[in-house]
Amino acid sequence: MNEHVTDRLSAYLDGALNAGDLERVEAHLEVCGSCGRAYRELQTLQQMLRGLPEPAMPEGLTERVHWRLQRETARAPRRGALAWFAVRPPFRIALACATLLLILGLPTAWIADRLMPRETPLDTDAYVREYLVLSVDRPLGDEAAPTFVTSDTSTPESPRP
Amino acid sequence: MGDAVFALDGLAGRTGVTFGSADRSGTHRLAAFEELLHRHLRSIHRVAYRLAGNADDAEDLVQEALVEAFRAFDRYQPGTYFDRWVYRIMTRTHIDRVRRRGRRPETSLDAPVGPSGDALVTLIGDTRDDPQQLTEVADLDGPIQAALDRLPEEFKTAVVLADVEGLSYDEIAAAVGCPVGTVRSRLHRGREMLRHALRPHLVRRSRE
Repeated sequence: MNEHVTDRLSAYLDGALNAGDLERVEAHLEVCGSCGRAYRELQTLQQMLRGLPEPAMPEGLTERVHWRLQRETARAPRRGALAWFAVRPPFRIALACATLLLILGLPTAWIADRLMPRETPLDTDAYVREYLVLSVDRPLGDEAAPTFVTSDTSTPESPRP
Repeated sequence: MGDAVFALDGLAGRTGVTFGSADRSGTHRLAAFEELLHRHLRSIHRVAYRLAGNADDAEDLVQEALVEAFRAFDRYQPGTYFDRWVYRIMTRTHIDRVRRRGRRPETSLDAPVGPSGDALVTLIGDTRDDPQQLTEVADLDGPIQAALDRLPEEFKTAVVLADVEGLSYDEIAAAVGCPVGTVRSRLHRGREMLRHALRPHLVRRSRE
């Protein structure tokens, strides 16, 4: 109860204290001359600030503001189509990624193509020749084929009607 | 003439601003912005004056903040308080201006000039460091503004928005972009500094 409430007076002035603090501050103000004086000074200060005279509007301010805004309007289209990307972050990010990919990706692919060892091309003719030699005494329809056909027709997934 | 400037395209006098994205360009965009501005320029200038501390800086601040606001006009939500939205931009612009000035001292054009051409007073506001100055100013607006100018910018902004403009804690928090608890703390500390700086005036006023 005897603890000063100076740090609560500003919020008390604005009616921004919770119920507990409000009760404590009001009880304290009844017994503490120092805090009561501080509170009255804050009240007077607020009245003085609220009563400050209206500053005179500079003559021609409206026109000068209008002129600057008009100049800003005239300048805006010159920012061009890129402004469309500039105001939309997803497009900006996509554009940046694409550019990065283009800058880094193409030279990397070119260097990799140059440096990596190339595989020997498949010699198809040699392969076919060897196959023909090996399969001379083996007919194309070998013994596995009927077995496969038979087992294939009896699979439960494709029952015959 | 000011009214004529804002009466573009028959938009002035409307109670609400409703415009599609297609209209948010060129003349229509400017007209919609100026219609709102027409209704709020006085309060915007008042806040700028109390933040900047003098007429010239206030006008610079108003212009700079309004150009910023116009560039960001697409982000303004029609139907919400236009002046509060501009305050948010203006408080940020003001702090940027003060920081720029802090790095590069400015010479007041009205400052007395010495025989060698050097300004005798180089920094705006440096004559206010003397507490005696506060009591020597006859006009009450002078000492209050001088005391405001000596507050840290964040405290001054909170006090101006609360006590000059009458904004709530929530509105100030939204305008300056900080939690409500921070607003409460800044208001407390700003008002305490003002109370000590202006005590002779407060005591005299209390007795009247």
